[in-house]
Amino acid sequence: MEHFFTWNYLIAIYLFLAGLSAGSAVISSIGEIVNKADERVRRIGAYLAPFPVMLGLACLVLDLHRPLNFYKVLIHYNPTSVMSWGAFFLLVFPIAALAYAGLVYWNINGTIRKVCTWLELILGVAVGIYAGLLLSAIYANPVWSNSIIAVLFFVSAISTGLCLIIIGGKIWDQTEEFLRGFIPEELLPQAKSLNFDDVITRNLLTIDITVILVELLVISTLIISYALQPTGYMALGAIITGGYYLLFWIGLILLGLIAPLTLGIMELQNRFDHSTSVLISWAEPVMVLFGGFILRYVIVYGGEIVYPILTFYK
Amino acid sequence: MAEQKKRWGKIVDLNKCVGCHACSVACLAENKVPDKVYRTRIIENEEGQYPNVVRYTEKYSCNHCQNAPCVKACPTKASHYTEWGTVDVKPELCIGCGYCVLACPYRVRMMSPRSNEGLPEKCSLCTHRLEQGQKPACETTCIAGAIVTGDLNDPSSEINKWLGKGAVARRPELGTKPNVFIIPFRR
Repeated sequence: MEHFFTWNYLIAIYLFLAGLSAGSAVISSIGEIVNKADERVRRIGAYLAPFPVMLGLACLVLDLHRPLNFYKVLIHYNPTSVMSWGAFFLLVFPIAALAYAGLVYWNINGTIRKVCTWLELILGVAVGIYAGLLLSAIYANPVWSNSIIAVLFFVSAISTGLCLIIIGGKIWDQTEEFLRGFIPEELLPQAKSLNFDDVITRNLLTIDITVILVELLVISTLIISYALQPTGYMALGAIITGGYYLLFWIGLILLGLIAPLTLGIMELQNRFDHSTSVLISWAEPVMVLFGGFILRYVIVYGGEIVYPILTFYK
Repeated sequence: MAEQKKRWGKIVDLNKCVGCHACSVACLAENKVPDKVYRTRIIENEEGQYPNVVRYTEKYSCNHCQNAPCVKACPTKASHYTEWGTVDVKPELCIGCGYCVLACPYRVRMMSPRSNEGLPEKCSLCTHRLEQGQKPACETTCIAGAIVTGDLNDPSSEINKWLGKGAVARRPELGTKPNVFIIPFRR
């Protein structure tokens, strides 16, 4: 299949991981700038932001057909290429995110903290939008050449970033205990544990429900936009009525959006007893993460399968 | 008189093309193209509504656009315009990301496998042969004489005579301004 698909699942994983990082970076830095978000959310977002994108970059390099040449993209730039801009952002973003995570971890304040926070926000937005723009800049492809893809990927990045923060916060307390064995005592922050309790999880769930609703709205807009384009029948055939339609409707819409939305709302209405509630608070963010990956997978592969038809489209 | 800059182009006459695949094979041999990858290939077109249908073959390869989406998309400028107006790939700059393959609206580039060079294989218009005054491999081997290559800036060249026979660019609505034209099939 190597000759049929130019880009494969590694690209979908990379777009998903870049979105995760961008989402948690944006949430963390916005929280700090407006000074509204809970301290714990900001911390977890800052700690987690650098790592998914680094893993994603590894996937990206593995996907290249000439991986040993990958450094050339960091030396040679082409201003008309979206990927060239993206390479620049993806070079700077993990560095800035690591610096910001360090500043947050050791509670360093002052001008450098302010600069890093703004840098984190700007680069986070850039990476989050770039992931979709990379695809929507390809105007030959009826599935990808749609600017709503960029919006959709950004909204999904915020949604999955939020869920990464929920999951990360839940396991942070245990992990920190484990890490204490390796890091000298004087380097650790004052507060021993983040105490990521049920209240903060519920507050984040409320925000996540809103973002999921926005995402559903953007997906509807995308489908309508396809239906209005002259070549849109190919896009509809590739992801909505045929091709990857099962993954789209069951994986993304049902399991990735509707199910976490319903479970989240029921959880906030206190419909469950305590043990179920604990389970739901884990299952809900995991479902959103799953949906976020399926979204990238469907869009990437959906775009690839229209190419053979395109050759004969005159 | 200053020497005029060359602009290589190609015209394929679809009325003469018989679909024998000789150009594909000659190209593979000349350019040492890896297995399962083609720089030029034959596609079969169907036109019309039953019962008035026709079927014809078409030699399909890079159109050497003057406003090429692949050159715009390439992150490292490995895809570039040569001094003769054709589009080519610099192997030393290429990272094999496949973005040019996806950006091409004509779908004429193909990634060669990682086990080979991993380059986006595409028609180079055999500029290495044209430089030496030879014709491209596909043109020399074409049994029907359906292909002509030449300098579009030279009014006396064979290709400019063919241009007058009703040659058109493929998908002109894309605004890619190809240097390669076809003479459409007439029933």
